[in-house]
Amino acid sequence: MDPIVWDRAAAAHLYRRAAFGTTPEDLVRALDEGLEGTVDRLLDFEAVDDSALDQRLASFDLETIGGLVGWWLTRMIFTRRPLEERLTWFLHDHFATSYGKVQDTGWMLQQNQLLRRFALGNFTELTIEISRDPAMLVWLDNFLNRKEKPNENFGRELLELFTLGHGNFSEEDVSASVRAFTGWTISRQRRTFLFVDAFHDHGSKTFLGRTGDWNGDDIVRFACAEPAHGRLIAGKLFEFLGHANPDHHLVDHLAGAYLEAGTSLRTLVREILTSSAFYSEASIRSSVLSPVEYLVGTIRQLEINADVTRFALGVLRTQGQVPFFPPDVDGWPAGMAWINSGSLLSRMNFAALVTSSADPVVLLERSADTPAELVESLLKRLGPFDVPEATRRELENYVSAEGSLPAGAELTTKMKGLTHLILSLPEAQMS
Amino acid sequence: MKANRREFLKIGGAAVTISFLGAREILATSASGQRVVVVVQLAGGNDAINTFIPYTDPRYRSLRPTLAVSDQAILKVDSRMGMHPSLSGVVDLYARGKFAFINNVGFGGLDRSHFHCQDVWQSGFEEGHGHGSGSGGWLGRYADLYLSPAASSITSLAIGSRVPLGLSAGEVIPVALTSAENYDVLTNPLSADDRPEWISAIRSSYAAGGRDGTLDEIRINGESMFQSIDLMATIPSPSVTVTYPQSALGRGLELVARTLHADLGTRLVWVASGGFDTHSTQTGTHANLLSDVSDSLASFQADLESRGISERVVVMAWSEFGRRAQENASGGTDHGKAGSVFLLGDGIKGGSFYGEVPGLDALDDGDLPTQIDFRSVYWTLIESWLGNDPEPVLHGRYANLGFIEKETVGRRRVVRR
Repeated sequence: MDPIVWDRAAAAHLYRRAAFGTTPEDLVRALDEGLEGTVDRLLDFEAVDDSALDQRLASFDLETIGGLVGWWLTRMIFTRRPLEERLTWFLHDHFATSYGKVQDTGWMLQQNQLLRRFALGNFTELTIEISRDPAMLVWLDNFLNRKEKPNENFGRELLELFTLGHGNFSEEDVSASVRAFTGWTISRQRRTFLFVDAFHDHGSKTFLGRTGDWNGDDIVRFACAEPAHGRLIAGKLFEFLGHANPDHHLVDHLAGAYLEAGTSLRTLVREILTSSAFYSEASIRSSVLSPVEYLVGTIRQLEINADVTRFALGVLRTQGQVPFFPPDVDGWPAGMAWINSGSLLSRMNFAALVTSSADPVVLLERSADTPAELVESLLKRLGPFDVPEATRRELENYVSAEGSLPAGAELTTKMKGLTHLILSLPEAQMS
Repeated sequence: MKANRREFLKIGGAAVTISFLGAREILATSASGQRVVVVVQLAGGNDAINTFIPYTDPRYRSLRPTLAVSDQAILKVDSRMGMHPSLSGVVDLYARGKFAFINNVGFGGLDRSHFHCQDVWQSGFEEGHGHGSGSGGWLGRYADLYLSPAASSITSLAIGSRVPLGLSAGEVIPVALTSAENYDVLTNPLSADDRPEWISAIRSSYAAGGRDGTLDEIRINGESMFQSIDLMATIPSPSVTVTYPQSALGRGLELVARTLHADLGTRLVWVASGGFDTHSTQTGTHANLLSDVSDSLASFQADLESRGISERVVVMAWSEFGRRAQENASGGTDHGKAGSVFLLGDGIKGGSFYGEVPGLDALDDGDLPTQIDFRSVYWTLIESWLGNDPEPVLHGRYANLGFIEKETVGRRRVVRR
């Protein structure tokens, strides 16, 4: 692997992937602190004071689902601990649970806080907590799982989607897993996890070749110690932060480090963000932004201060990615699955709304003297984007066919229009 | 003729000019009045046993002590099979010979995994979608092989936020939409004079070629979006006589009927509906899901008939697997194996069912075993309805199930009003 060249492009890439985007100040500091210093600052988010965000969040009504969605989007947009939100978002997609079935905002919030608490934590412990999480117990029906006639929903998806991956277990393992989780239920009065011994199957079970009176915690611990588990999580997290279809040697290496560290997400994330594969040509600008990433990144990039979560909800619904509403337990798709006629239109129209209704900070930085300079500065500020010459000429021509900048209100119109244009480009759909 | 990607890009560039022509000229260039396949995906694993019910089998009631539908409520279609009472809408169509169903459909490797089974059904390959040269979805491959990617048509249409794997193709870019209303580009409302310049700049930027794979694909989808905005502006209003359920499926099929009426060269359509993963307390949930399917399908057929285009449209609804014969302790059913397929349309030999009555005495590990490979359904649609050789699409030979009417006139050109 080539050594990593730590420059402006590499730092911008790290911020796009680990932090929902970048500002000029971030880049200056990153170049100053170096790669390891920057990665560690992103990882050590607990040291970052985020009280301004807490004040902003106080206005959301968390007892309504609209309030809860706005609350989370606001966290993603305004957090000063962006890696914490990026990984919470990753874990929500991994342990995909929908309010559509759970129908309880308190439980959705509780699960969200659990994921945030474990964003860089121990995955095995997180999975044990998830198996006792009321939203999950409702979502995959385990609160009804009893020894006489088990409900298979959770015990199966735990293996297929959460820990081992398709093809790495047998129907006998599913049966053992389901039986081990019998009696994992909810106390409706106390609204918490409850283990009911009378519902639990204490019989002998064989799971991944081991026989004993296993319970749910045993199943999670056995599954999370398997090489297949390491590969599942390492591969998925690398695809989320880095690029699609990583080399299997790289995945094996990452999986080894993750398992050796006792399934530490912090170790895995640090390995990924300091790997040369993460900064390789295959990785830079290779990833199609999901609707949430596009929306959050755009608002962060424009440094819009207004609350835009009100119309964000409609935009995300059109594109099929509303937080707390994954389509099913497998979470959302990735990559080109997000690009089609309807989704591009929704993105362009979202960009029209934010550029015409709010006053983005970038519009205040009027340092250009010519259309070419204006286009160059906005391409750099909003990206940086590398666009073909033909596109650059179209943008310049849009600002002015005469070659000189318009003045007054016309300049404001053109700057808003140009920002809208750049955010609508094919290049702006990728990270 | 099958255009390659480069040629298609050139055609795409020409669409900027075409869009200034009137709707009549656009229609004249599209494959007008041809047969259409509408696929309805029932995601989550529909409980086939409580949909098309082998009601005289005594095991039905012993396997389903709380979930069995009462005998008097079952809508009987013959001495052994009946339908769930929520399916009254399609029972009428069954009586009119326009609705049929197929029992015991699946594949050998059904493994109770939603995601694996959906992948297999959509790709048409048991290995899943990364299958060497034949990648993408079954209808996507069909489109690439047999439909030219015309610049001024919406050849493949997905209703919803995403294009499903089943429609994904190499050359024919499906259009995805959630609604025909507000399907237009917004520009700054304070500067209407700027709009033409903005639109021209963005369209030219999307037409600028010569970049790598993913950007190129985004660009092609953008061009397809601009074309579809022009085309969708021509679609007729919703029916005033037919009322659809106000569900995603009902609204989606209503949009499909309007789009097909506009005759924009649409041949392949995908609509999805979810929520069929009924692991617990399924009685009410499943009844509501089936009402939605039945009422949406019945409204769609009525709408197509009133628009005079029903003879060129068939609907095939599928689910990734059926559910366990024995109900679970939570008043639901767990993942099973073989399931059932719904067929609707003038072109369907309806009023009967295909495949044997599900044998509750011969279960495979508690599930209905597969008797009819799902690719036989695809084979029949491609061979007898669309009139093409299915083998290059499916990479194998499957039985023709004979559910397509030989006598329909679906190829006749539709009179434009």
